[in-house]
Amino acid sequence: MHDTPTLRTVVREQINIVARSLTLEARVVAVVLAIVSLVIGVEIANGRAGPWFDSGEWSIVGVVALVYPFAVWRRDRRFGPAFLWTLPVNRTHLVYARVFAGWVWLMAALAGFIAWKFALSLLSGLANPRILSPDAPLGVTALYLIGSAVLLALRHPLRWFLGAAGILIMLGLLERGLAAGPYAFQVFFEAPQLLAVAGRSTTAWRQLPLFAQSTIPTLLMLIVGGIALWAAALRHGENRRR
Amino acid sequence: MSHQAEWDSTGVLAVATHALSLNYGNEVALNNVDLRIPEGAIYVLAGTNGAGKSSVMKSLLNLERPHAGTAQVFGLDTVARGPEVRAQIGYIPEWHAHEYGWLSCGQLLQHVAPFYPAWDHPYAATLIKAFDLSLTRRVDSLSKGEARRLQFVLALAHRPPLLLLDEPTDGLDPLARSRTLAILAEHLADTPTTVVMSTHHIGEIESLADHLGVLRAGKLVAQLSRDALRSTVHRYVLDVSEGWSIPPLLRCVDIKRSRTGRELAATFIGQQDDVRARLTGAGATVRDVTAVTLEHAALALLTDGGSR
Repeated sequence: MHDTPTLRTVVREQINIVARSLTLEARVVAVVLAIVSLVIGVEIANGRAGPWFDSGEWSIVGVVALVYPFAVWRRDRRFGPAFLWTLPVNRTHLVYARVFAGWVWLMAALAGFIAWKFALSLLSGLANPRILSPDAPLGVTALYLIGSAVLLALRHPLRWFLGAAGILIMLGLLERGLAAGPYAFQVFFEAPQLLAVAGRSTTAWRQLPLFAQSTIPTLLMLIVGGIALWAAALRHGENRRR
Repeated sequence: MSHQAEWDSTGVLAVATHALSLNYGNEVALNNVDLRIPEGAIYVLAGTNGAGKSSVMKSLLNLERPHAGTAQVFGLDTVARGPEVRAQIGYIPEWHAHEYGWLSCGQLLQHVAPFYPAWDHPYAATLIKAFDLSLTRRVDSLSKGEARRLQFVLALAHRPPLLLLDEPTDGLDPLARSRTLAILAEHLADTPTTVVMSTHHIGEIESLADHLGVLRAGKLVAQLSRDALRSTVHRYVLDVSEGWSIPPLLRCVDIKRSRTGRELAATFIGQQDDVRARLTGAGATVRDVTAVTLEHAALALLTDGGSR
């Protein structure tokens, strides 16, 4: 009897294949960042760099995290007799391995983005540029899990779109409705307590963010995302219902 | 089925299904299918388009979840032990286009190989050479025939104990078809393998196949070993009187009468002695009885109105 592959092999191969499948997207992002860097470089040269670092790009990062699973899975048929499901791997494990592989590259991209921002902030000589909330990776992860769950749970593209749009609208309403409260969506990404110290070679936390302001809702979102993913993965399991 | 009990008693079945049923919406794809495929058999699954041949294979891989019934591969339940079952299987699907068409052939093989710990790299290289594949070409740039050859490499390189080949020679030109079947025959000679193959070109695998299953509208209407086929399906040439008609209860297809109406050739399904006795009893003279080819037998069983 032939053996099945180890989980480590499965994860490694998923990381590799996701990297290969995202080549086009990575190139597009690199080009966009290069153009933006150029524009910012001109701004820095003219001494007008400030607004770039106080803008709400973390909301965009959140949206990207939510729709990024579409890129991770776009080369595969998730439902029906697809190549992926012919592999000798537990189907649920394969789903988790693919989601994990996507997350690994998402975190790598996030780290790259932070490094890019930090480098530009150093170049700009800003005194207090906002770089990142410590909960941002968790918030990004939570949104990625929710996006993955939507993608894996829904069979038809139109429904995926409506589902994703619904979540975005809901989050938008939530943000607007709770903007003044401690649980605003914004706090996932814009905790003001974290600052990079510009003009030095190191980054420092001025203080830890308030736990109640940021971590609890982020953790709640993570839990929701995890549960949603678990429920969505059930649709693809070996014992899936017809 | 008369020969089913014989296989069951051996206890060595590569594939066994029990009342396997599968629906696509309101359409019945498989209806209480009881496959018995002995280990080492080369089993041809015959049937018209939509008869359920591909559905059987997808069920064995747990790509399609049956509504009812169970399926086992080497004694492993295809749902409960899906990954282990798939590790034993080399699969050539009915579709040619690979979802990972954006990879090169080499990259695809590199990606798939680690999933099969039994992957035989030197053998894979031999197959690539034998099938004349270029590793640098993108999968989606391959012709239908080239894509099929790549699928053969993917299916054979880990020397699986069970091959599921769904119209494997579809899309291949006659030369490539013959070459592919020769490579398959070599593979079977080197590697102990059970093969389940669906094809519309049964004549091509006449020399390889040793079992036949016939599916009609999702039902398995016949399942016989080659030997059983030889003893149950024959072509008879009869001398008959004008206006003679075939006795009832005899299962008969492909009837051809001479112009005078005094000579009749037909394929009868049933034990030769029994058929001969009935025909003689009905006033016909049996002039000749010949064994039929596998393809002819499959056609006879497909067109036969009788049930199991």
